[in-house]
Amino acid sequence: MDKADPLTEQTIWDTLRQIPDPELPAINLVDLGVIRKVEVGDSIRVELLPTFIGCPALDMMRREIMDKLAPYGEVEVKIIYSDAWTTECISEAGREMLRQANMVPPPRGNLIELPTRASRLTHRLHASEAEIIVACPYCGSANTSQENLFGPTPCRAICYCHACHQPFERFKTV
Amino acid sequence: MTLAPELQQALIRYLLTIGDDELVLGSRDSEWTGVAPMVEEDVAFSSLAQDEIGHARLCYILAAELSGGDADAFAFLRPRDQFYHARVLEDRTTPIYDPEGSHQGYTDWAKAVARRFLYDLFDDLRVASLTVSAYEPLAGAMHKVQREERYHLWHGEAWWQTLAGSSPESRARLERSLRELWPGLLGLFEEAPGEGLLQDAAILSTRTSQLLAPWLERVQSCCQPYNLPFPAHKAGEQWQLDIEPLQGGRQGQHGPGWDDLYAEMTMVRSMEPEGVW
Repeated sequence: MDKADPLTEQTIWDTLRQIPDPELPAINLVDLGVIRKVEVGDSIRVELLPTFIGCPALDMMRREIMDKLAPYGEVEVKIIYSDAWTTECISEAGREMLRQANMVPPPRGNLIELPTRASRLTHRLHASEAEIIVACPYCGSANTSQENLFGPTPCRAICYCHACHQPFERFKTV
Repeated sequence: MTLAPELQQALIRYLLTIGDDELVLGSRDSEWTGVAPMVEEDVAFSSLAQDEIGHARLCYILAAELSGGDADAFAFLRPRDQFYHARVLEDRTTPIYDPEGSHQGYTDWAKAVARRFLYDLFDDLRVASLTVSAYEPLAGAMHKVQREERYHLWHGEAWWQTLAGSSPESRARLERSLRELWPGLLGLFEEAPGEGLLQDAAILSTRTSQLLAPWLERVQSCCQPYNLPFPAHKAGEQWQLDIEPLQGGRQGQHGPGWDDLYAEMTMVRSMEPEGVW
């Protein structure tokens, strides 16, 4: 690097913002909220949070980050399991990117309260997550239903619009 | 956090025990991909299986951080009798496919669903107890796992209601599956060696055997409304089991279901130990 132009964390963040999510290319890694921390020192250290622990895109994300940052120096990508990515980590801009791709962003707030240890009844989950009514991203109708809480990737659920007869996806709350 | 060597050994063994439960159930449930009763379930059951294998990997990563080993080696390079999952998880619930049409073996979706739901009710208690572990990497990881497992409980509960309440045949299948599963499910509560030591160090808030009573309470509240068979009764405040648990899994003793799965899981690794994709 040119000494007059030292590498800043901002440069790294800006570069990471150019990396699309491998399975949801409409959104980039920074707006998805999976980059927990960037440190620039002797090497570049990036902390990455998995959306779902078993997400197979994780290794792809790590490789993309290594490749994209390689021109700036030595890169270390650390996957962090001790801190949870939640759908609240998606930025406002990121939510808009999802909408543009006709994917319903997760509802704001921790919709499903984490039940206490002492008395957890599973039907509380049923009442909240399974019965979320979302507006169709194509026509705006609220006459939609959830077809499957499980979708093409761990973080997506499948819905159907009864007004325009279009299946669509929504991002699960986690 | 630096752990005394015997505590570290106990924690590694405990992490492998959880990881093995998740890996084995995840592997068995993934066999439903493509043959579940409906396409939605192909997707759902595959997602659940994928989550469990992710959680297994996480446990092996935590164990590897302690032992200086490698998470993949824990998953694929251990001898057959050094896996510590409960035996109920290792049995196949799908037939072995034969292109000629004579598929081998017994299959029942009800059994797969009942095993998964009742295991998830156990796992949920275990995960919750671990979120307060004094070993912070474990506590943090389990918070994350807990957020994902809510979807498993939702899925299981919906199927439980469907099977128990919709037709005489679905109910009969659930009932038969439960009778077959109880001994093995009760075997989930066998302790790993060293759990007492871990509890003294507050790494475990609750030993595996101590999860039995809250699990029975939960399961009873699932069985009672449908008058389904249940493996215990209350004598005063205490639960008394009416069925002998099938144990040994936590000591590495397994049945024929494991021979078959172990051979399949380790096949590629043993042919091509350095293979990557």
